[in-house]
Amino acid sequence: MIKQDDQQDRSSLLTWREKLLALRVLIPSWEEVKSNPALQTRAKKLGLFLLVLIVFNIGLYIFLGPTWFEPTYEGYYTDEFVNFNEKDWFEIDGDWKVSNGMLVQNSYVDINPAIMLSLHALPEDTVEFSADLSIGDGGDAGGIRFNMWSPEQIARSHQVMIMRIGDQAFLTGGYYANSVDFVPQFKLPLAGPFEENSSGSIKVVADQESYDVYLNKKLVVLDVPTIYPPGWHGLSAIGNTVAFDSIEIDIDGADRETSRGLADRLFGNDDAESFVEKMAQIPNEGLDLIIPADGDPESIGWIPFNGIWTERNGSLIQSMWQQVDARAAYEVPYPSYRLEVDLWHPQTPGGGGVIFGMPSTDSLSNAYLMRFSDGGEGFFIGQYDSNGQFEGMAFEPLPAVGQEVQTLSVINDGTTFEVTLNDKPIFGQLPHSGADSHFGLVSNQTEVVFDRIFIEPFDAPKRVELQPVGTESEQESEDSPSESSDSAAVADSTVAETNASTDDTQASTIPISPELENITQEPVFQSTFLGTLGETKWVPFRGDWSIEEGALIQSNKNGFDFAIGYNEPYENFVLRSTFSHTDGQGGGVLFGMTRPDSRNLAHVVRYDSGQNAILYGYFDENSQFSAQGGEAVAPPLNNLHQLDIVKNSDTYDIYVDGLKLIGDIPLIAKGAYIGLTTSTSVVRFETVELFPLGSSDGQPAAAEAPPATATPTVEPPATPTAEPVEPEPVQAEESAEAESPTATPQPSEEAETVETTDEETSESTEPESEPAAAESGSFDQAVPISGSWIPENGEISQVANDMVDQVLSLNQFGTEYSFEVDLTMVDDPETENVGAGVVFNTPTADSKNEGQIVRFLNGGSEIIWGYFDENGRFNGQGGSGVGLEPGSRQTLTLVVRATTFDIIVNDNTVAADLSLRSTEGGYVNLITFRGPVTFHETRFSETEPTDS
Amino acid sequence: MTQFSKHQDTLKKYFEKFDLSQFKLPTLPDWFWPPFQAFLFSRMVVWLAGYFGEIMIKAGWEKDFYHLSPDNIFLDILARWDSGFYINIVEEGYMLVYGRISNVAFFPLYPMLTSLVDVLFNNPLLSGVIVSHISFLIALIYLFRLTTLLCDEDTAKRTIFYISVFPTSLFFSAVYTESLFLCVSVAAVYYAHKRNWELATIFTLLAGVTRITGLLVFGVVGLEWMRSHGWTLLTCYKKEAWQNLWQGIKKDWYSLLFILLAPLGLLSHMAFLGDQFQDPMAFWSVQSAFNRHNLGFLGILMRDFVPILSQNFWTGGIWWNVLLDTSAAIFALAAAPFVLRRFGEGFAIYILLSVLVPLSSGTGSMTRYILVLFPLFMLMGVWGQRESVHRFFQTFFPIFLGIFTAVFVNWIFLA
Repeated sequence: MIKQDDQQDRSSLLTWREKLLALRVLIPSWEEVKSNPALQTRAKKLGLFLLVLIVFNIGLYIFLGPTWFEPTYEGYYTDEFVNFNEKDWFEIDGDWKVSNGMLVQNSYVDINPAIMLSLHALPEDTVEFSADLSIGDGGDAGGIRFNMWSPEQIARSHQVMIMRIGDQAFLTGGYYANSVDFVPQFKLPLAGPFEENSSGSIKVVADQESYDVYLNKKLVVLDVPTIYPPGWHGLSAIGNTVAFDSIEIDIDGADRETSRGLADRLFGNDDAESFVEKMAQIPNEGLDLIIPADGDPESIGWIPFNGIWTERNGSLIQSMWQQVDARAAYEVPYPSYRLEVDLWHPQTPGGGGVIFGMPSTDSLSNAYLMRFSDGGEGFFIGQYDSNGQFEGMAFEPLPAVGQEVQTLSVINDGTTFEVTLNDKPIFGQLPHSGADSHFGLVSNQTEVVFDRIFIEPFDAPKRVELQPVGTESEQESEDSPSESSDSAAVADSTVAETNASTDDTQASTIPISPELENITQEPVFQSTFLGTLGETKWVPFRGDWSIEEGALIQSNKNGFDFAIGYNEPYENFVLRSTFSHTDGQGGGVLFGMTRPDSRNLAHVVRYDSGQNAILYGYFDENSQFSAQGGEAVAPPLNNLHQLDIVKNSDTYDIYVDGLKLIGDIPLIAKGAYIGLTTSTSVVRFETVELFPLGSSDGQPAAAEAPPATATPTVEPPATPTAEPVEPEPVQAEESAEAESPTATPQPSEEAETVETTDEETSESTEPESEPAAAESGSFDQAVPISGSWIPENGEISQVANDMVDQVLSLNQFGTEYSFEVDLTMVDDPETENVGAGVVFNTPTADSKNEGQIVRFLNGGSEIIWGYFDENGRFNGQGGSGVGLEPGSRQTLTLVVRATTFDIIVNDNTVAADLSLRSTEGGYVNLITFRGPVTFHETRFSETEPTDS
Repeated sequence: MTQFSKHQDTLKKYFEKFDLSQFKLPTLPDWFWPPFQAFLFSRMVVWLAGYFGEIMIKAGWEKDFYHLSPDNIFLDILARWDSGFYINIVEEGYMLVYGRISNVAFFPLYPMLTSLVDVLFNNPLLSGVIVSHISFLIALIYLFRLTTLLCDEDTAKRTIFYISVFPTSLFFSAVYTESLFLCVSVAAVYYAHKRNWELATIFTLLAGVTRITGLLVFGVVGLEWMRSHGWTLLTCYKKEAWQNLWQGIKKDWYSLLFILLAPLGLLSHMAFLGDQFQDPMAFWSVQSAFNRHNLGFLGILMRDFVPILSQNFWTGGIWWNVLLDTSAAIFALAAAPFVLRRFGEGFAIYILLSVLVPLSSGTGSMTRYILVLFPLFMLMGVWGQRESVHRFFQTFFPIFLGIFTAVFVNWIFLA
């Protein structure tokens, strides 16, 4: 019965198959059609149907095909927005205008303004697209749009932007899908907080497979898959005041071969879809995330725990940048060893490191982790407890590591661990259980390429190659910032010291202190901390400072960098402070301060509030801290500690509790004031003392002279002196200049300009009561109020190109005087309206407000004068064409009397007897509009009262 | 015999040879005149109302809108609102801007025919108006013949009259797809009922590339084919129905295969969109930009209609266009059972889906959407057998057609 059914089924199947294969059912022969009128009718109707269908399809293309834009440009385009042709651009959203050579987005209403250039690339092209931009206080993001499908719309385009989120800046990239939703592909935090008017350069090199991103000409993101192929190009912004200074697009001129090779190592041939899938993956899924592309890391002994680890071309790569502390452990435990790892960061400044002391490949209990911080500003170490909770131990500030190859090594002698970075010991005497332990690699939220990993037994000199390197990394020998042989020797001795030491946390501290031992003189300054703060010269400017029970106490622990300055200048010295932490840790000292009431341009040495380390560095003119380094020390706890700073003319040394921590640190801020500081801690400062510098370092002893000569212009004299300045020998050339014929009243004979060198200044020790009739050929005491001022070779340059006034305080006070300044304004078409001059008679040293101004316009073609009101608003009083050559050195002379002043340019009097608004005298400051402007020299001389 | 009499004889002989009684003017078929008369009457109402509405009423915002032919009001008034998209397609081709209103949302047959006619006139607006009017006249003819086929000639006359003067029938004259869609959809159904499946398929194909709802015509034709072979939805529970269908497939498989080719039109359009914009569903992708969000038809009715109940009719503070649209939708839905009973499930389903699909995302333009639901008007034609009903339609439809036209030409959004 069953067989019969089967036969029937098979029979029916065959019947259908025969019918289908024969096709005669569907397609009759021509003879059949000719002989059958019904078939003829069917054929005609079928023909009619096909005709309609064909006509319809042809009609679609003939009549309804879209009218594509014809691009104006192909191949290459560059624009500095000087001669802007609006017809070449399509404004999608926003209010885009060209102003002062920049394309600026001014609308604050539109969500994502964009403007597109009529330039098209073919899908198979390679496009290099760069833009220089700045983001003002009203902007949140600016960047470039590329690989656009249409110049008219947002969808189907890629975008890379510098974006502000809170105070943090990010580099973001992604694409707009058909839904016009932005799909992020990467988001990298940038070092440092986002600053208003910050500028940067973005470059993208893209083809139809992927793109690379450069920030400030540095490759930061590699091989991000392109969802849409090259097409149209444009700019985009979020918020207003986003300005583009220039753009450059080069189609098919780009060469991606160099980066492609590197990119292949990171992503291989992953297509866009799989990359997006990766992007969508959420971390913490353990071993399942490991998808080696070319090689299986496990086959060479690496046990990935999380992240995506692949072996390619002799490197082990962790490519899942979202993963927090992605790690892979080596399967074989060793009792003692020396592990050396070469690693580098292709995308972010830091994030890579090693783990050691692991009890098993999947356990972090009591293991140590050391790695570069995410921003690359330092290197830290910490330990996991038995519950796997990480606790930081120490932090080592570093210069930005960038993409340089870094060499980490771990020496496990069986009882302790020693850690070195680029052959320099940084952490030592880390306790070890003694049992066999595993080590591993770690990568925190970034891609890390581990180029070389090798291990050798601690007691055996022969290296055991764990992961053979396919090709020897060129960077290994060339780029690695290896120390000099001297450094290595020091490092070796340091290791020896630390091995011998019984202190398990101060392994790198060398207990030698010859300089301190030489301090035998009485202090030139000794704090007493009696009475009230107001009765002293201490000037608190951040934090809650008070004097209690003979100590100076900062009692607010909720904040960083609380500070107090001492309003008395000193030169080269040994600064000693003893203090204890009542709560938290973060106490320290300030020195080299340019002003007693500002941390701008001041050095800081203090306990790190987060790590057991001493941090040292300086604040720049914008209060941005620049770390010079950090050294691990024992936790300060609540004990009394002594911090000594030996400040020489160009360097300084740090001592903690009488032991030298580090020496010969470059002295950046060379001001004469000192201060104290705390961060997130309550600190009780018991003593502050200043000792004259001993002769052991070759510096003159007791160089801390009274303020008159060393810092002659910090404070104005109580009453402008009428005494003539002690005349110095006048150089013949300057005498000639002073006696050059002019049409205006000349300074009195006593007002001869005096020029001195630093050495002369330091050697002259005028009494404090002497007038500040000074002669200042350098800018040592100058204080930037705004702008970016760079002192160099006795000159100072203002390089910020923003179209605002930038002021440099000279701390120079006068009532009747002659002031000369030699300056050079840049000769550059981009900054043709650059200006420079003098603001004088200001009531305060740190502001242009209420001061008179005289300055050049447009590189020197004109000169204007006027005054700033109390709100800093300029009010013009006059001007004159002077027709100076841009780029050449000019001399601007002001002869200021009690009620009038004269303006002299290159010995030619431009205006005379101009009225002053204030007869009280004031400070003299330099001012620029845009830049760069270099001030070569200033000459100040007080004069006898003439027109009062 | 004088010379004059000679000439008289010649003429007499000549006229004797020329038999006037044999001379006949060419006659048009009987199915032409009723549609033509309805066409003429209704278009005259539209044009007169539109013209006087345009020149007599100055709303004040006219300058804020486009006027494609300001020098010819008779033409200009027929291009409002969506007309601009069709003209734009004719002039510049399709355009796709994601996230914004794009002309790619509109189907190609109407602008294609307009472009074809525009080859002669080089005036897209005039060409569009010509296409609309010719399509409308042909649509009336097909509707007349279909209704005659399914009912009788009197019903057919009333049907074409009602649809011609329906208040929103102004869209048959405007640069909109209503007239063309009515033409091809009625023609498809007419040939389906005539069992001319090949022509029915061709018009179904054309309906599918005129509007998205043209796909429903495919269903109507398909159901008609099945009905012609003894299978209906109402009898599908019977074994005989399936036996009949099976026999029909075996016997008339060629027609069935032909009908199944009808979606090739839409597929061609999608292939074109995929080729040009890399998005075969571009017409669908941009729908969100038209502010249509799917809430379900009940949700839409609750959202749009319920608030009207609390509005003040006495002061006129009501959403009049929502009221009209909602009423139109309710009327169509309520009429569906009657259509089912009178004309079968194919027409009823066609009405239901044609209303419910757009209704699920909004009531907007419903008075225009029901304009092409010819079974509704056939039902009205049947109802018009009653003199009172007929007088009602005959009186109020033209009046409101004039009002609506005056509203439309003054850039007040009607539908």
